[in-house]
Amino acid sequence: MNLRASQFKANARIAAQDTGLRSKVKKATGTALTKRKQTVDELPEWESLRQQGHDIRKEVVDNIDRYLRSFTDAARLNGAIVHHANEHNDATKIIYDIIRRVSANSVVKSKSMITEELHLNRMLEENGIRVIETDLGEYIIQLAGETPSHITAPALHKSKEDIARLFQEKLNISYTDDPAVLTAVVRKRLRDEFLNTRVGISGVNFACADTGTITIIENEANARLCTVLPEVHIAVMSIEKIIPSFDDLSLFLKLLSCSASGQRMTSYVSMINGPRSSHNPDGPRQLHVVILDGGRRQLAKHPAWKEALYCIRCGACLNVCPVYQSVGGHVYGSVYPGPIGSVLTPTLFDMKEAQDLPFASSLCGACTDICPVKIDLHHHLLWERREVVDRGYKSFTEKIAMAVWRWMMLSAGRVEFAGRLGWLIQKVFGKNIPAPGWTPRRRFPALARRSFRSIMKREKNNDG
Amino acid sequence: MTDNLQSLFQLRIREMGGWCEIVESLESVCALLGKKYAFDKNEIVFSGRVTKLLNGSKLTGVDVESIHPGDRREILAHAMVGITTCDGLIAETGTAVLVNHPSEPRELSLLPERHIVVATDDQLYESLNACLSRIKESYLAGSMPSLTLVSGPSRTSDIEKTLVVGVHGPKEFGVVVIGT
Repeated sequence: MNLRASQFKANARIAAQDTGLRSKVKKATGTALTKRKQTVDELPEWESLRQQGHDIRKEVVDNIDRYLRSFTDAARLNGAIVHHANEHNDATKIIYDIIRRVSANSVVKSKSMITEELHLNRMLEENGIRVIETDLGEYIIQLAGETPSHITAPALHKSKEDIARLFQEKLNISYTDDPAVLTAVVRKRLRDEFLNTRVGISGVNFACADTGTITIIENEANARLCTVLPEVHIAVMSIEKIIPSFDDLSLFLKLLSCSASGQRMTSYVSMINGPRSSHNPDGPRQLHVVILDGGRRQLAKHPAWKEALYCIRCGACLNVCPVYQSVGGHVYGSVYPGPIGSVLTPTLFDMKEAQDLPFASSLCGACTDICPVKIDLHHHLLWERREVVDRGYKSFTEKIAMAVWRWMMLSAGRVEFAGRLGWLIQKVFGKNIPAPGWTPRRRFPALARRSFRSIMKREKNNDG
Repeated sequence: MTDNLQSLFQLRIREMGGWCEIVESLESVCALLGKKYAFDKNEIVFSGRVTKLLNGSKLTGVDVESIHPGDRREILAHAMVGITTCDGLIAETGTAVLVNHPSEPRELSLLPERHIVVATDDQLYESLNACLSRIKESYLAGSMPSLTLVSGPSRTSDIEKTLVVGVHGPKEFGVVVIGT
């Protein structure tokens, strides 16, 4: 498969036939949804928390420059070295230079979607720096030479048997599909890497504009190890990770933990306030915060599409999406799959390339209902569909078909006539009239002889 | 009120796979931990803040400050138990809030096989928000140390959503609360 967003239709067609993949994805997303529901059902204030989350995220995105300045000042006051990167390439170069300056040739890394967006691992490895992914899911994906298929559960598309075979082949261990044993293997292998690697790279979940605090949530403790033990810690984030205040943290920790994993709080939350200093007795001697714009400031100016920047990357909309459940994350051909990916990829990256993604939805609205910061996801998909059409990306045949459809639908008489004509055609040629792009995967509906309106009219006349 | 908070805290920490015991005296802390962890003295490491809290009561183990900083990581990485204090317990989530402190390095709650927190019942907060506000208020801008929130043992569900405890961090997390 050529995993590009432009190939979505072709890839989805293949993935939809892969019953093995589908059962793995359905099982994993189902478990995640059940756990989330149990926790959320015990929180009567959930709806009001979502609204608060939405309002705060809106406030940040609407005033992104001010909050960015404030966070930068506060983080610098804490002793962090803050770098701003406009383009993706600027960010990777900054990170590479930091690593070279301390003459390190390897880095331990905790899970981060923004580094996926930067294709950081590939760039560092091409330049001779070994990247050690330490989140178990990311470790598995790196070993397999793949990309994550989910925002919070990168190896969701793999069964334990897949992982057992992978470990057997790549790590030279005897076959076992016991998750506990497989996990222990990774713990043992990575311990020394944590203790001896001099640079740690992490993402950021929330950055507080008032205190300069960077917050990282996790369950495994690998992010703690990556951010406490090395001499240099590089935290990578995009501008919209900022929240106004340290006081907002408990709200967002709750929203994110519940939505991502159904926990009231993840096992660990690191709130990092600068490098080793008089008030921070241990930890890295240098803390670098690399902040990527990558087209976001531009997107923040758009009256509707800016909403996609409210996202806190919980992955709940992926779990609940019937399309994601059927085809998994890889076919979207984007770092961000699922509903939020379908919304964000065309507007943040390339609408022409990703023109099919807004159509990868049944518009059922489950994503909107589950979103912890109330992003109106399915309406965004609809608005982006219009944009794709307005930009003229659709085929000539589709344009003609839609123009005819529109013309017909604008008059009751024409609808009536078309219905009768269709009924007549079905009567003469049979029910399965071939319609390219439609009937290969769907049955053409049977048309009635008389329309509802004409039956109504007749009944009324009879009564009268 | 305190009783309610205590039972809520106990419930939440158990849900996350940790444990919480409530004891009445400093001596009982040492007795409980001594009975639970029959390891070599060198395999149990506690912080200077724990020594201070226990106020003369003898706990088996080594004070982390007595270890040469150059050897600290190696010893902690092989320790069976790391014992720290905390700066707040959160009832609604079963969380211990740890503020980075000179006599309590973050490695102590991170590298050993088990992490045990010794706390007092007056450190219980109902909500995380209340505890974090209190901490923030007590520092000037630019001088707040880093914080770590611990709500359970190290865990993962990355393989087929099956819960496995003890990935990269402590396999066990427990809290001993000294009540009145």
